[in-house]
Amino acid sequence: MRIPLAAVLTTSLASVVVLQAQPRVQTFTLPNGLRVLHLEDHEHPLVRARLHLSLRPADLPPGRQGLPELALRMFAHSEAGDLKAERFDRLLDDSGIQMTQTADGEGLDWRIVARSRDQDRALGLLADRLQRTVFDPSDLEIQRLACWRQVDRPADSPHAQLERLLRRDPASTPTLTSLGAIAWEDLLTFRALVFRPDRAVLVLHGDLGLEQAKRLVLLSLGTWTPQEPPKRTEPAAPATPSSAITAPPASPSRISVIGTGLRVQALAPRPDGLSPEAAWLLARLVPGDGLLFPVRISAEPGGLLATLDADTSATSTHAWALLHLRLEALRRRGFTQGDLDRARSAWAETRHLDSLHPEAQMDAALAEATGRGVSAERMAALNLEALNAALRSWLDPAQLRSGVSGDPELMKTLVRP
Amino acid sequence: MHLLVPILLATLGLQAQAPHPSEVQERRLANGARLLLVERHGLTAFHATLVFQGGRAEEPASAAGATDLLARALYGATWPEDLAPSNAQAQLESLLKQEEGLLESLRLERLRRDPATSQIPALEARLDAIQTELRAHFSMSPLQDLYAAKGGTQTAEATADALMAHTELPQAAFDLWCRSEAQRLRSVQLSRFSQARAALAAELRGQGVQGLAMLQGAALPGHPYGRDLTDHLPALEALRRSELRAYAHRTLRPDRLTIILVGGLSLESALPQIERSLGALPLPPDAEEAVLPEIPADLGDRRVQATLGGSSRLLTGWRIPSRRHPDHLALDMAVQLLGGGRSGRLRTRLINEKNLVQKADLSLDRPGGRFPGLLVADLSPVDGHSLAEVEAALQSEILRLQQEAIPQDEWQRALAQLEAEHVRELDEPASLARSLGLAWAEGGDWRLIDLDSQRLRTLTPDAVQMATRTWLSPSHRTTVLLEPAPSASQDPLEAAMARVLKALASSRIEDPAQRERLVSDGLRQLRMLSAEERRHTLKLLEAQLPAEKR
Repeated sequence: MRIPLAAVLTTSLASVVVLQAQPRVQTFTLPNGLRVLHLEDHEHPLVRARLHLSLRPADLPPGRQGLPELALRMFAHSEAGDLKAERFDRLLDDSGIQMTQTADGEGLDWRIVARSRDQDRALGLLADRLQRTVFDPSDLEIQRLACWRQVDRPADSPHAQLERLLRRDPASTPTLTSLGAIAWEDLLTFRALVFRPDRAVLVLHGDLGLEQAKRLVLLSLGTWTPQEPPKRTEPAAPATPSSAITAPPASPSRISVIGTGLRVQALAPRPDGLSPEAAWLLARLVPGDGLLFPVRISAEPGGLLATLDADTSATSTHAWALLHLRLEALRRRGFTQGDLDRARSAWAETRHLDSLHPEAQMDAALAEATGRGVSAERMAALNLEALNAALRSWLDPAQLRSGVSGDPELMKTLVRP
Repeated sequence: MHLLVPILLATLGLQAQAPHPSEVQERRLANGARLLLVERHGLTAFHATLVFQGGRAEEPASAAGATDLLARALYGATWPEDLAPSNAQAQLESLLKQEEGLLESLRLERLRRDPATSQIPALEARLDAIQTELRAHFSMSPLQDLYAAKGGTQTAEATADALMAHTELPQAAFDLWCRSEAQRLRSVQLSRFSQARAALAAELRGQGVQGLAMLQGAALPGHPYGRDLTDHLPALEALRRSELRAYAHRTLRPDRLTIILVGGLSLESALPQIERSLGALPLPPDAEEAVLPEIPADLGDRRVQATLGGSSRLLTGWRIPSRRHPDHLALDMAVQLLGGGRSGRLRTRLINEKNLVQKADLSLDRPGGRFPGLLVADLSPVDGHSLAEVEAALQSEILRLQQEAIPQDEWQRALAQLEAEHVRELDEPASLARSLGLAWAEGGDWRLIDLDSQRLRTLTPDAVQMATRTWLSPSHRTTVLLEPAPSASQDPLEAAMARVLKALASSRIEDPAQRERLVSDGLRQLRMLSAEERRHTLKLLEAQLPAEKR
């Protein structure tokens, strides 16, 4: 299939404009293997840092879902070198430094925002956290329980609870059993496997020059070395609930709310192997497609989320069937060449918006460095057949995770597809 | 040695300066709209925020939810059919009017609940036919949205004090943005009104009773700041498209609009286009200013106990002055000392030292800052600890803040956090525009964001203690104690109360919308009683029902 010349020209031209307007990514690697991406921007006296540790399937033993989240909590509540956790937090607050940590299916991230005058302290504290944190075994049960509360969140509204349940991949979703099964050795092994400079990427953005960045990173993270995993004396125990956690897990697909109408939802998780380019285009093309009415779709980090609010008794009964019918209709119909060209053109324009968001520039640099970024060449080469094949794969009915919230009486009348 | 000079000069030149409001250029347009422009060289895109002063607080009860609906139906997307001149849209307009009539008939028919003579199936079929016809006029792909096609994004939010619409677009689309925004306000087409209203109603139903809404209702009775939109669902569902359009024309006026632009645009290039578009919007005749009741801050110590699904939670709110009041900054500092960062007092003492609380959040200006609002503490106890313990611990911390000298290191820490937050706030175009917009909508002057930062340097611990003694006193306080329901999502006592109130109301009030509102209001007030008092009230109410309805 030939690629429309206009689309290629538009894309190339946009790339040039964007590159001129945004900070250039400069890279360097420390002797210990830590890769650093540097984006220099002196507009404001702020420095941002994001340290990303990638996760691989082998990092997580079977039946230990929640291990990354629990490890992050242990890091945040443990001593770092000679600093107790409270003292560590006070040092951050003394300089107004923001430090947050998150875990998702792809990795662990620490994000820092500091005034440029506090950049040494900010990077120094991050280094302390990564290199000198000492886990306390007596803290494990407290953090395990806190981790479950963080996952469970019973105070959320029913709609929020349902969406949260659907967004989670069952294969990596922490459960009472999986959290309870995580042993002390699992934590230490996970830390030794994942917390290594050669698996990390540090992205720096803001008011510091390249030479300054090199000096700062070398001083703070240059001595970071991997730890040896502990030697297991016995095989990992099978997953059984911890005595500290006794509450039953929430149902993953039905949430009762007396006196309300039915909300039916389905999440189509992003399939493995979907190219970033096809994912970007479909996330723009699918939501709001007229064929879906009255179903609404939004593109979420975990996939495409379809929602149908049933407002009459007739719709309530067939809500689930209607939602699946609409998704299947779109899957079969696919998109046209005109749709593809419009979406591709929107992508080229969207890149300008990154200049408004330092975090987006950092995300794009990291995605590029880890091979997850959208490339202009691949975008131009993507054809309609590939796009529609990606759509069929993404909306595969066998992969949908469905759920319903609403009045239990109405739920009884609901006909399952 | 001679190489040192250029290196030093280059280094100095690279040092960034803290952003300053002198960067903000202000112009007043002929129709009364304000333009605030912050030029950021080198950006190839711009962020635009339109701020309409007013918001939920100025909605009359009959139009409760109008600001939220406008955020969704007017500013949720930019469809070409909504921006065409009205004379080219005669057929669409006719269909929208038919849809409005059918929706209203259907609503009334559903309220009548008489299966024998029900017209519901016939009305639903007619509505379905009209909506199918309507969809033929609608854009069928999100990429037909004018901004999305240009790579842009668009969001809108309804706050207590304003309607704010945020757009980001590449620089080259600035002219398109100017024309589209002017046309949007001229036509107020609202072609997808029915979808927006249904989605909002479903969300409100799904979220159920919210702790914070309960607190606001009890602490600010009779004031729109205390209004819970879920109590006004019948009014929201009765609001018609034509009524919302009329409301929009009255309230989204140029003289209540501030346009905020941050990006690579210069004033010289942007101003003429803004003047030709948004600056040329006609100014409607003066509308009546909304008169809002004043609530005395020392209304008395109020308590609400309720059982909601979920977990235990203590919500305490103190009535505080508006954002323009001299004590407001001192209260901001008090929030920082108590709940700011990772080492605020509540976190240090109640979470880390006593292990009494699992979560402690403090916030200021709930739900808004234009009028006297609330300072809210939201605490969740650790399992095994009661709400009474948490309440006592919170009160101890308030008393300590009021009575004991604030240590110097703690003061400096809180100051550093507020200063750093200010720098972060001014950094990104979106957060800068939002801060400027809120300062104008709540405080009447966008310069407040810098004035507060300057006043912070001269603020003293004594002033903070004085302000907390004045405002965080029991007579200004309202406490909501939420206990989890054992199994069901709704408290059985509340369910029984709702049933009895509905039965009583149906025998005395004709209008179904009024009836449902009365039941909602009644339930809200009854939640302020203890469980024993509520059981007693239920018996009294049941006694008024005929025997067959008990």
